[in-house]
Amino acid sequence: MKEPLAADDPILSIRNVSKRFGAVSALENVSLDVQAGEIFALLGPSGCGKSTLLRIVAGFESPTSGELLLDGRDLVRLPPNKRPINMVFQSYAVFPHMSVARNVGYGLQMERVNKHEITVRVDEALEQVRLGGLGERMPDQLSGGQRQRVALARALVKRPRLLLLDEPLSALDAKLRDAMRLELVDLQSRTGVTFVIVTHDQGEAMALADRIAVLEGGRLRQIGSPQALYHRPVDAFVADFIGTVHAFGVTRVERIDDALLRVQADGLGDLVLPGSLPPGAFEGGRAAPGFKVVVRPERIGVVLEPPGDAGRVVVTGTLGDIAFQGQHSIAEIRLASGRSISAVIGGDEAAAFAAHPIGQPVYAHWAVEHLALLPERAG
Amino acid sequence: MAEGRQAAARRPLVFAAFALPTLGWLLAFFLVPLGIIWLYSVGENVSLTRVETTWTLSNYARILEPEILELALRSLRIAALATLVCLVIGFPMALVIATASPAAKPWLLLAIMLPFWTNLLIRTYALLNILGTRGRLNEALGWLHARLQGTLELLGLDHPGLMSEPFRPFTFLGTETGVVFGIVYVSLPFAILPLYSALERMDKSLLEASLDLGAGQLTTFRRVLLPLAMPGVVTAAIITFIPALGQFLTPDLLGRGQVDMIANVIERQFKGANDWPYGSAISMILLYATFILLALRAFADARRSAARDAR
Amino acid sequence: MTHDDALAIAARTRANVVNPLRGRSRPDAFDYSRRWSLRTVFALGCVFLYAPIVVLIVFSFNDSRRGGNVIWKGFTTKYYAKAFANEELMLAFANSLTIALVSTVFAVLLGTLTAVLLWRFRFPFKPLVEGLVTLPIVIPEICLGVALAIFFTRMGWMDTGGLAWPLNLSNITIAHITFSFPFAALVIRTRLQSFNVETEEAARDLGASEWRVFFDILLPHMRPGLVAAALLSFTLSLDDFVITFFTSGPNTVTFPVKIYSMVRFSVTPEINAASTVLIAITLVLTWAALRYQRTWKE
Repeated sequence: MKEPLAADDPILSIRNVSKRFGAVSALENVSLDVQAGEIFALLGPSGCGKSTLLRIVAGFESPTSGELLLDGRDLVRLPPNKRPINMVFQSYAVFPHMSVARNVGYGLQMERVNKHEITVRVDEALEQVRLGGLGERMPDQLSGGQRQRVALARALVKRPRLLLLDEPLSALDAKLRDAMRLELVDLQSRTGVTFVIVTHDQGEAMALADRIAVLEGGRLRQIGSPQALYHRPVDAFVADFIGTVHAFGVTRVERIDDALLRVQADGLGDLVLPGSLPPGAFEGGRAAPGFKVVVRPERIGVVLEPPGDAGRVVVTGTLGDIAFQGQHSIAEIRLASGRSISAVIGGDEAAAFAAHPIGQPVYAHWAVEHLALLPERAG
Repeated sequence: MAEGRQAAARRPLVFAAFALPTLGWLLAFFLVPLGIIWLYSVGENVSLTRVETTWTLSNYARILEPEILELALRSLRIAALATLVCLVIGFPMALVIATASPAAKPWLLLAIMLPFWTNLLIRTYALLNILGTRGRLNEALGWLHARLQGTLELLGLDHPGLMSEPFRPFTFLGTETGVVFGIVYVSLPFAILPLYSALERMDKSLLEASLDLGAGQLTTFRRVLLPLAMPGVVTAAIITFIPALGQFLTPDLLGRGQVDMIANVIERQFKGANDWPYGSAISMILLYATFILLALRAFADARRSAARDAR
Repeated sequence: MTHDDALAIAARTRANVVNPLRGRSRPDAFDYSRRWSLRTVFALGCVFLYAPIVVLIVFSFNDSRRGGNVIWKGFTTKYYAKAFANEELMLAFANSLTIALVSTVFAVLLGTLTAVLLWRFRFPFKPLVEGLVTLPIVIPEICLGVALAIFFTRMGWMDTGGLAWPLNLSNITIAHITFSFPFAALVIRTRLQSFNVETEEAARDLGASEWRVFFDILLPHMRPGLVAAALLSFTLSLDDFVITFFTSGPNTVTFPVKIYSMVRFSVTPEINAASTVLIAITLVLTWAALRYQRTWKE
């Protein structure tokens, strides 16, 4: 992952943008900045407003309130065809009645570029997306992946300030997805164009983007690099949306000293956690509703005998299903409360456990430092 | 869904139960009558009531006479003009319906179809009051004329010769204009439907992509919307043109005998002149024209999909 | 309802909800239906379509004695009385209604057989048959009218004066069935295409015979299509002029033919009155169809 370019001012500035459709609020007070030359992802579950935000940037919707600045200049007044921003649509939207070359050259025609230059640039663009020589083909003769590249070439040939991509990898199967992902990263670094991608797939966002903005219910939850979001999620929602976590409800939080907290959590009993009192939790015991302690499955170990280490959280349960995933396996552990948690275990371990029957008593354990105390939803 | 899942040969009796009534009816009351016209068209009157098929082409030859030829040309001209006007008015109307909210769409469709669900005679008759010299259209035009005159006077721009004369009503009845007006009136809803159907199915993201790439509204309309809607336009043109060509009532009522079209000549042969072979021949010409148009369209469709499959 | 559902619904109905005059959001790129220029064209188009009919209805109350019923002379309802008193007109009306009813029944029957035939079976030359079935509605009406007229004359059926009612209407009825049943077949076939075959297979699995399946499973599914087809056929029959004109023998009077001869003779508000009654019937039928559709949709 490369560092975002150290630009002084962001290339795209979204400030307090809200969008309402009648009584329903699609976006509420979203503000974020995109730096020049980075790959920025808008990530969130369906209905979170990410596509609406993308369309607002492209110009197909106008914000109910808020500002949109590109290179410091107001964008809202400009209609979509006047913005130096181009979009690759989810359905690719390749014109079925024009050849590949005419599709790619269409935007240049709109700029009144002369015919010779159009030919040169179109050929260049097709080479860039590895469709060289296919200029005379018609779209219905191409595969889905090829059509996507036509859409990419068509947008990039105009040298936009910003390229928007709506769910670029969703329609592809696993192998193609990996290949396309690499191509996109490669394309972006070669052209230097700033990419803004919309996706609901956190794995995609983490693999592709330099920075990610997590949206939910029309609000911005957190912005940061994939590592920051993964290791330092701001609330339980983000923690569970990026990767997986197991969350346990918190009933009491008490401050032991400046760096230690006593936390009482469902099914885990009393714990001593490093950290300071998070905003929103009450002093003196009663926990604010909605706080959780979370742990990631890859931090959980499974053993047959109770582990002796102090400083580790231990829960008892019975062995459930072991799902083979190739390099590793996922073991299900059923707790006394009836819920199940999962642990990531290696191949050898999985084989060893497979010998035991379902229902075999086991112990799940993890280091107390790997528990994070988080509000359900921040802000 | 699940169309054609039963091979006819497997259940011949059931198949026959369904097929025989349909095919029988078509044979008896459609193909046979058409066959008779065809035979008559190459026949002659041997007596007041009997026609014998002598395989003569004399009936067809009569169509080439200058009078009839001029009439045929006039019919083509009127039908073509009416079709054009229907497309020009119908396209924006279809566009409005296709892009309306889902709640409004059925009501808008109903609004344009309702006039269509009245008897053809009533609709055409209603135009008599509108198009007459003292009819509502002339009344409206006269009112506009007076307003315009008044405004010019107010601005001091009235010169003799320029709008200074009183309004002279136009003559619509008995002219080609009136007949075209009438045909457009009865055909418009019918032309809007296929246009609406084609526009409704259009992928909106294609239009957005065009805008995104820098095209203005007009350019997007010209280079993306219209080409992609073209099959619908062609369908609308054909299903408007064919009935327009064979119009009988409109030229009869609105043309006042001055603007006869093909169908009027046919009618005369059967209701007056009793020259059935000749009337049959002209009918056959109309049928041939219809079949040619449909065949051309089917041919173009087949070629388009074959070319697509071949790639 | 989750936030997502609400958003989805809101996005779909946004064109309904936002008031364009508030200036808060200008029409989206392709909301052609919200642009005032296009709305004006649509409105003018509707005025064009409705004005003649409205004028016709208005002038059915015109107190005009002669001169073509073009100038308004005063309000009266006497021409309605005159129309209802006109025996021949009323007979013509009754005849046309009878023809419409009978032809509807047969058109729906024939249309159902055709629709099931084309939907259910595979057979050689199927595209040809499909084309054949649509032919009656594609060719110009005058050709069909003339062909049937000659046919009936050849058969000697044209002189029906001797036949009792309603058989004297049989020619016209046959003609109407011929041009309505393809439309009926189209409507019913569309309805069949939404049929879930698995319900039929489930019935078979539970022991139903072929005929039971048809009556218990297929027919109920087709019902909305049958009703739509019936209304369509009825309207087509009532609206027809050309084919009725040609297949009406000298002794049968049907509504459009009667009106035509009245128009030829002299234009009076009586014609308007009779026409208005027919328009009213059409409106009632349409309203009934809409009501039925709404209950069906639920």
